[in-house]
Amino acid sequence: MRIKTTFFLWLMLVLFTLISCEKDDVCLSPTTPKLLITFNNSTNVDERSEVSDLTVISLPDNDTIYSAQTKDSIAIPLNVNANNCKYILAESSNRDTLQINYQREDVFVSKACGYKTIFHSIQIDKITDNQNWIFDLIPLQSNIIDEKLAHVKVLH
Amino acid sequence: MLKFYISIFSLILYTSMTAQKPSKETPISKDSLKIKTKKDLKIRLGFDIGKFTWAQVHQSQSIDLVADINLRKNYYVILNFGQEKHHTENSLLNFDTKGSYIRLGLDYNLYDNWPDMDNQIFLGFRYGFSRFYNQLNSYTINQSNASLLPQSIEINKDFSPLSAHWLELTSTMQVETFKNLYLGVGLSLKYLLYTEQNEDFEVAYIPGFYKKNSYTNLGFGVQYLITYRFKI
Repeated sequence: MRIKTTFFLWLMLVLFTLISCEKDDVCLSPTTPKLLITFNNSTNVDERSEVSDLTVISLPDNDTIYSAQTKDSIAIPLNVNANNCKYILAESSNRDTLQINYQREDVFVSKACGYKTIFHSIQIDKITDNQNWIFDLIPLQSNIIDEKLAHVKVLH
Repeated sequence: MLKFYISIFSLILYTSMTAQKPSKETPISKDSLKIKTKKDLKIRLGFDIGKFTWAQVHQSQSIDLVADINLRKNYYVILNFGQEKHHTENSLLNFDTKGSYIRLGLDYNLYDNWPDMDNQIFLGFRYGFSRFYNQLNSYTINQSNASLLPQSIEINKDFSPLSAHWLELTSTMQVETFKNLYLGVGLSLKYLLYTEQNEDFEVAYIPGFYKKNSYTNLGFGVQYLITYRFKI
């Protein structure tokens, strides 16, 4: 009986140790979506047009998201603490400011991911100054729910 | 004439002898007095001191009471009742899980006690049931690469109560230290049968089952018990 007891104890210990190793709870689902902008030709709206020497800065903290890069599409994060944010899109030294307004909704994703924000009723306005390199903005979606498709077309 | 009578007599005697039934062996009659052995109904009551202490340190509260009854030699029935408030806090969520649970089980003692010793090494199973609810205190939006960091939002939202039930395979060791006072350590492997879920939240902790991993129904628990034996 004594040998049986010891055997059982060891078996339990080994079994418990092995099974108590669990798969880590890591966030794998998509979280707060970014605003996806594609740069298109102002004469041919469906044609992508690269912007060379593009710099994107978020206001009011002056954080540079893109610095002097050549891109035909960008993804910029929106401010989840307020219902608006401003971004400076500069082509070389020509700075244009965009004002973005929206309604926020906080959605639960999972235990590992927590909450994400999705944006409704997006309004993007170009602030006109004496020299705009951005010609027009065409919104593609009124809500930002995911990052599957572009949300805005910027014509230049 | 006499010869005739004697012959008849012997003939009758012989036949009467064969007609006799074989005699029964009369058994030794048993003593009608039954020896009564006094059965001590062993009941032990105690609590989980490990859980209690851990809770004090971690902004939580926990009460875990244990009762076990020795039915037959080596067979014990265990009843476990608990109530707890478990606090979970990380960079994304800050919430409390409050609820109570009950565990019912049977344990079998594998240990051969020497006379005058009362220790046990148990192998047993349990059925557990819990009723609980989550209380979300605050959360922080999960957003990657944002220069303006998301701020913590306080909501203090109570989610609707849920139920869960599970099975356990337990191995407990109880040692009698001082007279009638037992110290015990129990390991349990748990399997969650079913838990209800809230629509907009995920069950992360179930009282009694402890941490619930997102990908599996298996769980694990340890108990540090102090119990006292009452004689009835």
